[in-house]
Amino acid sequence: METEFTLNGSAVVVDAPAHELLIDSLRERMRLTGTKRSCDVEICGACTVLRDGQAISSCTTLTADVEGTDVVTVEGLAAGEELHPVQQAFVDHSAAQCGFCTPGMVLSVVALGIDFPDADEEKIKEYLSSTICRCTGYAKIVEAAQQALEQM
Amino acid sequence: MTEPIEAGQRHQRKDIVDKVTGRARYTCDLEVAGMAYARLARSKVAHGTLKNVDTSAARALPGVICVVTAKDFEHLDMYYGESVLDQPFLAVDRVRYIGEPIAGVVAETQAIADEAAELVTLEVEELPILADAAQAMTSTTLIHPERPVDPELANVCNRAVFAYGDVDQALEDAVYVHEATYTFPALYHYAMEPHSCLAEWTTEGLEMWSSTQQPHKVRADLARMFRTPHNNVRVRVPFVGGGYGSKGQAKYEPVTAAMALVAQRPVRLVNSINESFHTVTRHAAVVTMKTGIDADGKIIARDSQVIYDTGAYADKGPRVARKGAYRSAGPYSIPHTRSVGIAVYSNRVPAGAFRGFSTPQVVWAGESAVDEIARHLGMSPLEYRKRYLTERGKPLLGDDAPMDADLPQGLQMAADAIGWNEPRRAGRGRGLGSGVKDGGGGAARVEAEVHLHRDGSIEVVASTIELGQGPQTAFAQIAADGLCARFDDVKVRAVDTWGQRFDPGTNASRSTISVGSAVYDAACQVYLQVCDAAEQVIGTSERLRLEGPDVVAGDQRKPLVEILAEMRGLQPDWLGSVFATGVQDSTKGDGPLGYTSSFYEVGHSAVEVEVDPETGVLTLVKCASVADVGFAVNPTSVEGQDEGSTVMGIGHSLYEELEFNGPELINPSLVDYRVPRAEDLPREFHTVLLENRDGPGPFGSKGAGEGGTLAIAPAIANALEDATGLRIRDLPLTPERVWRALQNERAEQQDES
Amino acid sequence: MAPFELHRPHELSEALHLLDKHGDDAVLHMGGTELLLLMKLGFAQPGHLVDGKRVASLATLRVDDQRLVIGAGVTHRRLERHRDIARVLPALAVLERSVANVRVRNAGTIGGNLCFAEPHSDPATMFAALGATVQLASTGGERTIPFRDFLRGAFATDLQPGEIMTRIEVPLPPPGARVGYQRIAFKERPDVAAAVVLDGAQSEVWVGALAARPLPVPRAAEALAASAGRDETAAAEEVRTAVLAVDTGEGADYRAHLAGVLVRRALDGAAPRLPL
Repeated sequence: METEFTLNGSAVVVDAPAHELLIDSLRERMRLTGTKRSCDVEICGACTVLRDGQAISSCTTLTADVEGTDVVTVEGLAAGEELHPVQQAFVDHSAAQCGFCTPGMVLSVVALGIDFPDADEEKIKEYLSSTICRCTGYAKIVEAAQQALEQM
Repeated sequence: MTEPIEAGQRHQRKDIVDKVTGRARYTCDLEVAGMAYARLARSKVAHGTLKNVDTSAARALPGVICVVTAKDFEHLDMYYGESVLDQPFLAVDRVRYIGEPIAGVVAETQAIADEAAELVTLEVEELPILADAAQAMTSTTLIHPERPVDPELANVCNRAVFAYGDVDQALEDAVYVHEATYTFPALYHYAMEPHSCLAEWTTEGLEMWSSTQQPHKVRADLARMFRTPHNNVRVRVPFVGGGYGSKGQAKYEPVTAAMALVAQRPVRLVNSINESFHTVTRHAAVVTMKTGIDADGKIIARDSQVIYDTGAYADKGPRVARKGAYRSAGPYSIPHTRSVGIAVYSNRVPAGAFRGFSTPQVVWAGESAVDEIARHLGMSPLEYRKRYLTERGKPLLGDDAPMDADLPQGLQMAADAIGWNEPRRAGRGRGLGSGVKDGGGGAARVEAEVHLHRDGSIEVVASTIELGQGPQTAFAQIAADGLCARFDDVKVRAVDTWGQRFDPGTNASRSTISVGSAVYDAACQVYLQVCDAAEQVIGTSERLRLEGPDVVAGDQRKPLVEILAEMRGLQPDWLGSVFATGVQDSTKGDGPLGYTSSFYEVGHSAVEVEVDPETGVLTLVKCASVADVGFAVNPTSVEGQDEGSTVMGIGHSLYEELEFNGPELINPSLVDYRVPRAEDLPREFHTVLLENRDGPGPFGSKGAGEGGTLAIAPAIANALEDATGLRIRDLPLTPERVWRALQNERAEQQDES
Repeated sequence: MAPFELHRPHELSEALHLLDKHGDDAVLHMGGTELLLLMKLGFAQPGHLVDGKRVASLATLRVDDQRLVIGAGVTHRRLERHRDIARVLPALAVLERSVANVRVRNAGTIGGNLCFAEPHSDPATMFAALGATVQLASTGGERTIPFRDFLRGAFATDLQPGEIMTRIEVPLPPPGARVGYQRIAFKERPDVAAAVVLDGAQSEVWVGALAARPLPVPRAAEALAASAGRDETAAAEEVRTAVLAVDTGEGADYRAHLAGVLVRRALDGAAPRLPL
């Protein structure tokens, strides 16, 4: 079946079986490998993409379920060489080590900025508890999120 | 050695833009033309003699290219491991744990491979199941009958003993003997990226892409197993999404290469996280310690035994047992010790290397015991440790290197960071601990190359894997300083065994001081060559610096390419690079481990906890970690590593535990395996870098990255005792465990009154 | 995941017709946060998914001074962020905020949660305590039953073949009544939860997450009613006793104790019901 949606600002059509998961359409069909598969049970957030500005787990979303929506993956954040403020904040605070959680974590902070632009440190930690990082211990991620919220 | 200019700066990571944009690629992201997809079928039986693996239904599925079992590889050497090569890449005559690979499916799509793997059936004659080390130690069933027999226990994979002085006599002479048993759970590393490999047999030989920490060792393993020369095997490593020890030596490379061989197609195997849980774990441990003190309170004797459950295969179990035994004595220069470390097989998931490597388990016991002793003496745990921690320059154990750190200084810094002496609120307690492990980098000879291209750009070729700890940045800083060049002009290449120098592996906190030293050496050699050339051509090399394409020396500036052209008498177009191979050799020296330890990795932890007596929940109000790193090449990266390792340690202190129903792992997913999240961060969280320039690496650096895992658990348990008077000797300190301990204590108090 | 045919009705009647047509080979698909996970794990392999997300009537949400009328297709996110719910029933808004994680809340629906009947479900405990009713539609018509009767056990409801839950109606206690909810989770799912409604003779105390379905503790409610909400100790003790009677697993004494603690804390945090 065909699914029409906007992906990173461009109209796309994906012709895939109904049971295809969004993460597989992105990674295998469209070769957008920034979105990662880790826990596969909707907990870790490595597969996070935005659908109409809301974070979803692409590992447990049918491609069909983004029909008519606006999907943003990590590849759609930067404008050419200019990084999104969240990405820049992660760079400034060195908020990534192995980097495997980073696309999902960056998108989670983007979503945080949409959902709770005035979030304080406690709210940031609560919200970002939806996404797992195993390397950084979160300290620099929280700092980056604070900077990003100020700038968004 | 000159003073650092680029080293020591908080330079932006070379890879961070790629990581925040999603451009960074990991093994699971790689794709080659004609690639096929793999899935392993795994045993659902914990222990049994393998009668038959029926792959007929799997092979019949349309889109399946081949299904392989051990029978297809009788001409190969199927076994791998670290020192004990007891693990076949597909079960041969036995299955030994639930989750063990028994067949490999290769198919045109991942979905078909997954479906086919479910169709493989296993016929097994069941053997008695040894659910854990305790059961295995006394059983007549042997999981590895081929292993040497231990004099005392059954199913021993390895036993190590370190003994100094006369511990039995010293314990008899002791004024007070503290004795206790401590337990530590099995854990999973939960690297975000599951184990992944991509293999292809080409005219060049075996091309292997893998998420591995030890590519050269993997190359050697593959060569041996496939009976092919080293020069016929190439291992390349893209970015790795977390290792922490879970991706050491061969894991899935042999089976992926085997499938690619039979399929005659490139094959990519990306395990699920569930499968990664069933690959390698941290050893559960039971530690018994008898510690005797003299009339002054000094520890004069320690008799300890640590039993590590190494699961169905050895993996790094023998080394863990050995290191754990060695480190059981702790950092108090105890004159009389007997330290026994035993790795015992069981029918559980194999256990191997995990950040801290044997030591969190024995420090959990040792730093809890020291606190209990201090309390017995009525001494402050901080003052007790400051008095008795091994002093700088004094022997630590046997004739190994003397202590190279100022331990009391570091511990005091941790205590200060949480306001140790400040008045504290009711319901709160404070605790601390010091963990020491002999650092890696000993008994190795490693090399690295630095290439200075004629345009002034610099390439570093060094076999340290970028797992997230930042060598691509740190080595660029080190090389820049060796060359008196700019950080921005230096690039560190990804690791490739083809044409790159051997390195045993990215582990043991060894890379900065071993490979990093070789990088610095190479850079310095290149610098000298440039100085030579400059003197010949421009007559000076005074305060020579490289600035992009230019050489600047004395009051002159000239493009490097012109200097080289003139010196070599060649057209610029015909000029190669200036390069050198640097060496770091630590093979000399004798010590109890067979070599002299190159440095000591030290981690001090101090915490303030709040106990909710109604629920048993422990909240970390304050947490400080002091990483004694000698010199931080990139302070931001070192902080990040220490923060990460401390939070990982908080994980095993409060939340993480692999749960087994007999031999079966029942929580192989984040649903029931609880890793730390952002909301678990201590309210005040400090990482302090102690830089006394007293390490063997460039600019006095030491290794780092594991210290945070060592003493955090006993620090928390010590704080719990401070708050409640309760001593708990089992991890993790879950709310239920704490609550029960409080209940039992209340009951006991009521009984007494 | 096994292949299936995806249907996208725009009207409820169309959706019901499709369920009838394909019988037990069809299932309603909304957020997918439970269903797709089950299908990925191979526990369910329906040949037909009926996507109800385009049926507008399933996603209505109405708040007035007497009740909440929540379309079964309303996401946790909408409940968490709805200003009127935050005013009249803050315990529900806070509860919704703690369901799973933000991504699950963005996609998952309240109807999906209640029909899946996971024993750890927070909303189930709250709706049971509040005496919610659920409306179920089929090609044969509609019926309304109390949520307490709808929920039968672990993963078991009264949902009949061909039925779709269309909405949940939550009567609000009168202004001044106090509603509180507390939960504790040691891993991903809550381990123990407590919902308390302090409303004179209509008081309710329910314990969730630790049994097959939410557990009412009428004697605790009576103790509270008799003491105008003051005798928290008696209520907690009744709760503890009630839990021990049904929870015989390992660690039951701890969970029973926690249930009592959470009831007390739910009471302490129970804000008086504000008018809209």
